[in-house]
This record gives sequence, structure tokens and C-alpha cells, in this order.
Amino acid sequence: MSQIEKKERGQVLIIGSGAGGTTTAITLAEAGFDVVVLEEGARHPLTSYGQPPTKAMNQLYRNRGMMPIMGSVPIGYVEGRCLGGSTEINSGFWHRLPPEFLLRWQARFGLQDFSLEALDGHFAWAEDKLKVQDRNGDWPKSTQVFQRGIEAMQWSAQEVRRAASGCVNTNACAAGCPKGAKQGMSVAMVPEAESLGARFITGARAKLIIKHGNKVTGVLADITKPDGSSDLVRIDADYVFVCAGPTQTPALLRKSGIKEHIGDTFQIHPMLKVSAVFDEDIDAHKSVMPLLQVKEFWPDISLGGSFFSVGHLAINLADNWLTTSDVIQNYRRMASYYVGVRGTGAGTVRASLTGDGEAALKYELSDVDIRHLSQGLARLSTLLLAAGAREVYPCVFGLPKITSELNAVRWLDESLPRSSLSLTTVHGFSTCPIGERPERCAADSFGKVHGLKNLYLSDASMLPDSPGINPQGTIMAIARRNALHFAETHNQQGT
Amino acid sequence: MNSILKIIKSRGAIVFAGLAISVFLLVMTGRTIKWEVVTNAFKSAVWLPWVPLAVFTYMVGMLLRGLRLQQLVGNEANLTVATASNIIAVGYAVNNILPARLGEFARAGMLAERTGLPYALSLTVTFLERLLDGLTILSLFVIASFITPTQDWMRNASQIAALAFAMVIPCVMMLALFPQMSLSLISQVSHPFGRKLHHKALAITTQVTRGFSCLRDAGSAMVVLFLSFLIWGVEGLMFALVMPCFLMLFSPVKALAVMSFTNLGILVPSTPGYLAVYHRCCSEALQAVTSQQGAGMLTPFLPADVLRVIMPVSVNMVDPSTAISYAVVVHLIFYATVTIWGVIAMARYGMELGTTAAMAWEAKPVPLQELEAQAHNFALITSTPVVKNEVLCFKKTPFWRSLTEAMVLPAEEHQLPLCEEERARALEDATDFLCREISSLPPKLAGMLKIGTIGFRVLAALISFNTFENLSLKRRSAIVNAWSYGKVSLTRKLFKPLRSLALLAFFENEAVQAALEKAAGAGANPPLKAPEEGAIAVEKSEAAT
Ligand SMILES: Cc1cc2nc3c(=O)[nH]c(=O)nc-3n(C[C@H](O)[C@H](O)[C@H](O)COP(=O)(O)OP(=O)(O)OC[C@H]3O[C@@H](n4cnc5c(N)ncnc54)[C@H](O)[C@@H]3O)c2cc1C
Repeated sequence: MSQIEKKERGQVLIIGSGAGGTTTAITLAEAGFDVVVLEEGARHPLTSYGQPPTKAMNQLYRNRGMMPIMGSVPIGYVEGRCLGGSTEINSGFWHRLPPEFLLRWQARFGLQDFSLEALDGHFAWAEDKLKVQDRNGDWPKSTQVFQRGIEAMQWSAQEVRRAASGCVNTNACAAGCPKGAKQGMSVAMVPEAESLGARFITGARAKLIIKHGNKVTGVLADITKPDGSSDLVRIDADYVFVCAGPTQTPALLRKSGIKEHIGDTFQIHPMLKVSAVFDEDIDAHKSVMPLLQVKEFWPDISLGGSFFSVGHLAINLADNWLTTSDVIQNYRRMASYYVGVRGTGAGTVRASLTGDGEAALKYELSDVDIRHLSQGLARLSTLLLAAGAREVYPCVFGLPKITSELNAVRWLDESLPRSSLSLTTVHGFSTCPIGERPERCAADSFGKVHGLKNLYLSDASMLPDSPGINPQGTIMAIARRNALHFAETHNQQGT
Repeated sequence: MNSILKIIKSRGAIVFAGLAISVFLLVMTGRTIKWEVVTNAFKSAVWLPWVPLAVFTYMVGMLLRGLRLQQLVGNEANLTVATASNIIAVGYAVNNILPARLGEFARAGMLAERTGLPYALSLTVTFLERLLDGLTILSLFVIASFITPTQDWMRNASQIAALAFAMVIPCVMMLALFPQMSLSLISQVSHPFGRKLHHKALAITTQVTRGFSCLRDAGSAMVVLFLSFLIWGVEGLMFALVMPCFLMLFSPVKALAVMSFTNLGILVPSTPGYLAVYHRCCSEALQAVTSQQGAGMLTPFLPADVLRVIMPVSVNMVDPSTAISYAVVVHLIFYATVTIWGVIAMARYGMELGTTAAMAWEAKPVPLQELEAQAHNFALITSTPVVKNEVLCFKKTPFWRSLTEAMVLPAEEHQLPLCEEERARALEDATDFLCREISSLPPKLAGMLKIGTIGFRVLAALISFNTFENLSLKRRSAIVNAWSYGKVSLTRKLFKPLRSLALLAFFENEAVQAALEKAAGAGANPPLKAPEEGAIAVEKSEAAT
């Protein structure tokens, strides 16, 4: 398609190159739109991936990984800031949205055209692009011992498919896969989008969306040049898609004066980590994280494997370092796991008034969340002890270790004290819910922001509620569906 | 020559207006002056020691200006106070010789040339300096003319100045503290007036907020503000030191009012060196402040002895001709001192006036252009230069080093087999990582952390009668552990992220990992202990609460 034909179809500006942004870019470029993607982070070659965590945090993470969610229990949160967004640093665990949630969202948010059949093809498309598959080859040791525990407890579990074909166990998912096996956007989809004519401009941070009446006319962005200086530019576009992720999309919209149901319903999956020491060598620092997830207590509670490095083990032991510092010497016999709960608390994302309007994140855990975390800890500890763990070290201040099932099951009935918990999360969403319920949705069922003719959103922020699973698959499938819908309606209108 | 012509062409209207105003005031002043009184005033003037003292004071003021410039660019360039003062002197000298306030551009040009900073950033810094000067002078004028009895016109002028100040300060605060909000607001307001104006408004806002970014750190903002007041206080002292030359009593507060009014007055376009405008403003202000007796609003607040020194009561209203004589001398001290200094500096750096003018032209912002490399729908609004050194709000100091050490080192009996050098290196890297990470926190949280660590340091010093970093490792660990694992959840929350970050970096260090491996290989794995019911009991009691 010629440049003139593309221009006639319309100029589309996409902010963010993560799971939502790149899916939108590839779909609209395919449909013949003139697509420009602004990405705040840099484009990194594979050769620069796989650095030690301390370096990777500087290279690939927003705020060098320092984005705590404030509340009575501060929760550690990270997200990516590079070409490909968080898909570059995630583990590639893949799920389809369970039918239960599909129905729930339809009922609560009035989502149109949101059936299992309607989404099926979009999931399949994304799975094909990211070569999602079961693992071929043996399970790593950390998965094997987990499996032992699952069998002993006779709980239902599943091996999670991954977007990581040809994974060779570098244990570098969180630092960018240096082998290109993990199918982050920069490997799996950006090159194809570029071949279709989409232009990805990295180092370009959207600062403000410029509106005129009920239309967006363009975006103000800071583009950082290789020498470190930056240009403030205005970019005009016929359509703007905000795909800056669950925290940055609401922050950008709010500082641009778009606030209706934006950033009011921040949801997360709070996670409590534990490390366990076994009698045998696990060498978890040399292998991919455990691949099984316990589904017995889903959707409220999930149990699974966590990233392991000696440094991260030290963090897990930090809550009780006075009594646990010696344990680190057993690192070769240790592995880390998590209890994840489907958050039911209340959170917000606001643009700070001071400074550059950075996103200020808040989340208050509900009592139900605390109960679920406590029960999850009891179950995970029991499972690990049943699998042969000698001791289990939870990230709970004042609870240095759990050494017997009897100690563990206590937490089925008692709640862990809030002030003792050290929680983290890597899943954020629902800050700009989509749907046809104007009293609770920021955008319509296809991501068009209410009250504005040509502004769309398509990323984790649009998920109406917490999905209870690793969310990348759902984000990509809905982003694909929305982009196709956009292309169809705009081709019909002949813009 | 070419560049001077270019300047005249681009700023022709201002140059012409300046000339016209200077000629007009010259004629007006000339008609009202009794020249024989002026001659007498000069004949009977007492020059010593006042004039040399005034020149010396003015030079001290210039050095202070240099110090402030050094502070302003401190994060991005190494500049000695002497070079910084020379740069400012060159700017003033060019203003005294060339029209249209070209000195400001020359100053930015020379700053860029001396430091390697980009021109655009030098211009921003120069703009910030001038703005700080303007605000300081405005506030000094308001204060001085409120406390010194003066004529109505001057009181009215000071009220207008106070109003202007009250309007400008919130704008400055807004631009300095809320850059994003300022950009949104300016964008909204200027958008309806068309693309060109919108872009211009956004460009100015961006440059100003960029320049003001150094004021966001409370510490450096205080230093810069303090220096600004000191600079203009010293300039006021120079004005006061010339008073006794003409048999007026040395009166710093009245001199401050005269100085600030004069410096506000020369904002009006005039010839190079502010001819006539300077003299007229200075003489009128002097007459106004000497026309009334007494200590004005200060009387109830200060002891009579102090008042006699700073605002002597026996001052009679100075007649217009003596006032002009005073203005001529003050102007001459300023003009000659700074021009000579500037010319010497230019000679030292091997520049000529023409080159300086060319540099001034160079330093002007590049005209807006389309971003060719991108696309037709991209429009460049403005460029902001590189920040050379990353500014960390938590700098790696001995305090952070000693804190890191106290947080990460395992208990004595579990020390890793690390040699002294490896241990030091690992701790250094961990400190570096910790400081970088916490500096990346969102500003509000970084502020809270700063307050927390200050509180920690103060309390640690109070209980130990020594600074934290000078305590033994054992003592430091004890204090840190009391905060990290004590009963107060707030102190635990303060230390949790600090310890986690330090531990992460320490145990990711290659030498530390090798030592761990060695320890494991040597069968040094500590035996696993029996369950610690005690700890769970602590937990239980917490759960109960
Ligand atoms: C460590 C980690 C592990 C995870 N593991 C899994 C997993 O195994 N499976 C799974 O399904 N999910 C996982 N997730 C979550 C998943 O990666 C995210 O939910 C998903 O990537 C979100 O997609 P998104 O498009 O909303 O945002 P992102 O992928 O985060 O992309 C947003 C992009 O927008 C850019 N951006 C932000 N603001 C601006 C701006 N103003 N201007 C220009 N660009 C901007 C950002 O730099 C970023 O590149 C993980 C996440 C993390 C952090």
C-alpha cells in the first residue's frame, strides 16, 4: 500500500509498545493504517539482555524497578520500560481468560461481543504469533519438587504453557531473554509490525494528549536523542491509542484532563513469596522458574513458582535477616514459590501534582485478601513440606520459618498480621475499565474513551476487573479484537 | 560587523526605542539640573575611603554572582568561581557596550564555550539567573520601601511591585514544582490561539521549567536564594557607601531602596550602559527616600541604637543636582568596574568584541524546524540539552556506605570467605546500587524516605553522641537492627526496602557468590535448626493486636 493510500486511511498514533500497543500496531498496520508507535523506553539488542538483576533493573524497568504501591501494606510493583514493555521482562506464562470471568465481565460491565467464540480466534492468533507451547524436555528440579508436593496433597494443578519456545534455562526472563527464546514483543511482533510499515520511535515519552472539543488533535512528546538531549515535539494524528500499561495509561489520561472513571479502580494480584530449603540440590538459580500452578483454590488463591537468584533469595529472607542470614549459604538447595491472590481490595492511580506527574499508586488490601494470603501460605507451606522441604521461609516479619505441617495449617484459621507482610505484584490492571456501563466504565466495549471521538485505549488498563490469571494473553486477545473492530468500522466509514 | 548588523536587524525596534528613551531622559534631566550645583557637589565630595570601598564591594558582589552561577551549573559542569565571575563580567560589559541587552546572549555563549554545555542550556541558566535577580530585587524594593519613609509615588510603585511579586511568585512556584501541570495549563490556554502561539508558549514553558528544575531540591534552592539576596544586599551596600561621598549619612536600608528601584528602572529599554535611565531612576529614588524623616515601620521593632546605624534620622532631602551627582558616581563605579573587568576577561580568553557579538548571535535559540527524520505530522517545539551527570537525590556518602555495611553483613560467625578488597568492592557496589534505586523512587516517596533517614541519623547521633558513620560496625548494626526489627511498624517499613536493595546488590556480586559457593563446597552449610516457636509467638502476639 502506498504512503498516500495509508495517509488517506488515517494516521494512528499508539502510545506504548507493550502487549497491548504492539498488538494494536501490527493489526492496524496490516489493515493499511499509517501507524506510529511512541515508546518511552529504549530499543535494546538481544546481546544486551540477560544482565544481572541489578543492571537489568536500570536498563529495562520503569523507575529502576522502584514503583511501590502505597497503602497500609506497601506492595512492591515493577513494570517494563523498554521496546516491548513488560513482555520483555515477564516469564511468558500463558493463559486464556477462563469462561467464568468472561461471563462475569459481561454481566458486570455490559461488555458487548465478548463471547468465548468471539475471543477464541484472537487468542489463537496471539498464541501463533508468540509460539505459545508446552515445555518440551524435562522439568527443572524446582518444578519436580513442586510436583512432588502437589501429588502428595492430591491437588489439581496445571503446567502453564509459555510464550518461550526453545527456552534453554538461562533463568534470565526478568532481565530480558538473551537467547530470544522468550517471545517478548521486541522479538515476536515488532519486526513484523515494522515490515508492515509501522514506525516505532523509542525514547519517546508522551507527556500530554491535546484535545479540542471532543476530539484529540495530537500528542506532546519528549523524544530523547542518542546524545541524551531531548526534543519536545507535537505529533498530530487522526486517532490516538493509549497503550502505556496499567499505571501509565491512567496517569497520562488524567494529566491530560481526561478523568471520568480513569484510575479509580486499580486492581492487582498481591503475592506473598516463600523460599524453601530441601535436602537435595535444586540449583534454582540456574534454571527457569517452576512451571506448575496449583489450581485447586483458584480463582481466589493460586500457588506457583517464583524467580530465583541469590540476590532475590536474600530479599526473601530480609524480613527476618537476624535469624535467617545464615540460611543463604544453602542457596543451592533452595527454590522460591508464591501465593497469589485475586485482589479484592481497592486501588487508585493518580498523576502526582508535583514533578512530571508521575503515577502515584495506591492499593488497600481487603480483609478477604489477607485471609486468602494466610490460607495460601498455609497450603503452600504444607505442600512444600510434603514435597520434602526441611524449612519454609515466608516473607513475613516475625515468622522466620515454618518447619512442620502443624505450624503451617495454623494460618488456615488465623490471619497473618497486615503490618508483618512483605508483598509484591507484577500484575496490574483495570484502571480504565471497558464496557457499556457508563457509571463504571472509562471506555466502550472496544476501548473508545467515552466522550472523545478518536481516543482509544488498549492495554492492561482496559481489563474491567482482575482476571485471576497471568494477564498477557487476555490483554493481547482483547487488543486484537478491538483493533480489528476499529479497522472494520473505519474502513466502512471510508476515513 | 556582520553579526552586529544582524542583531540590529532582528532587534531593531528595541534598539531604536532604547536610544529614543535615553535621549529623551537626557534632555529632560539636562533641563532641570543646575550645573553649578553639580560642579560644587563634585568639588566638595569626599572620595576617600568611600569610592575604593564601593568598588571593592561591587567586586565582592561579582564574585558572589560567580558563586551562584557555579551552584546553578554545578550538576552539569565544573566551573571555578573566578571563571564564572569572568563570564558574568563579560555579559555585563557587553551590555554596557552593545545595544539590546546582547550581554545576556554573550554571557550564555561564553558559558557554553567555557563549560562545554549546550547553548540552549546556557541560555536557560542565564535566564534563570536574571529571573532570580528580578525577583530578589523586586522583593528587596518592596521590603525596603515599606520600612523606610518615602514619598507617595515611591510607595505606590512599591505597592505595584508587591502586587507584581505576589503574582510572579505563584507562577515561579508553579513552574518549579509542578512542571507537568504548568505544561497542561499553558497548552490548554494557548491552544485556541493557533499553532504558532501554542508552540511558542509550550517552548517557553519547557525551557523555564527545565531551568527551574534545580530549585526542586530544597537544599540547592535555599543556597541559590540565599546567594541571590546576598548579591543584591552587597550591591545595596555599594550604593550606601557612595552616600557619604556627598555628605549624606550612610544608610543601608535607604540605599537598598534606591538600588532596587534603579535596577528595576533599567528594565526600560535604553542605550548600552543604561545611560540616562539609570541616572534618572537613581536620583529620583534617592530624593524620595531622603525626603522623609524617621525610621518608618521599623521603629516599634528595633532598638534605637540599631535604627540610628541602619536608618539615620538626620538625613535631609537631597536636592536634585546632588542626587544626579550621586547617580553619576554610582553608575560610574558599576560601569567602569564591570566593563574593565569584562574587557580584561575577554582579553584573557582571547576574544574580541566582534567575536563576543558573534557568540551572542550563536547562542540564540535555533529556529523551529520540522523534524525531518520523522514524519510530516511531527513538529519540533523546542530542544532541551543533555544533563551530563545524573543528579541523585540520595548521594553516595559515608553515611550510606556505613548503613549498607550494617545492613548486609551476616553475623560474625557466618562471615563469608571474602578478602578485604572484595568485601570493600561488594559493599561499594551495593551502596551505589542502593543510592541509585532509592533516588528513582517517585518524588513524594523519596521525600518521605529523606525525612525518615534524617530522623534516623539525628536519633542515632543523640543516643550515641557521635555520627552514625563514625560508630563501630557492631554498634551500627545494633541500631539498624533495632529500627528494622523493632516494635514500631513505621521504622520497619523504612528499613525493609533499604535492606532488601542492599542485600540484592551484595548477593548478586560475583565475588560474594563465589565466596558462597566456596563456603558451600567446604561443607560449611549451616545445619538446619529446630523450629523457632519463640518467633512464631512474637507473630501470634502481633496477630492478636
Ligand atoms: C516481572 C513481570 C513478570 C510477568 N510475568 C507474566 C507472565 O508470566 N505472564 C503474563 O501473562 N503476564 C506477566 N506479566 C504481566 C504482563 O507482562 C503485563 O500484564 C503486560 O505486559 C501488560 O501489557 P500492557 O500493554 O498493558 O503494558 P506493558 O507491556 O507494560 O507496555 C506498556 C509500554 O508503554 C510504555 N509507556 C508507558 N508510558 C508511556 C508514555 N507516556 N509514552 C510512551 N510510552 C509509554 C512503557 O515504557 C511500556 O513499554 C509480568 C509482568 C512483569 C513486570
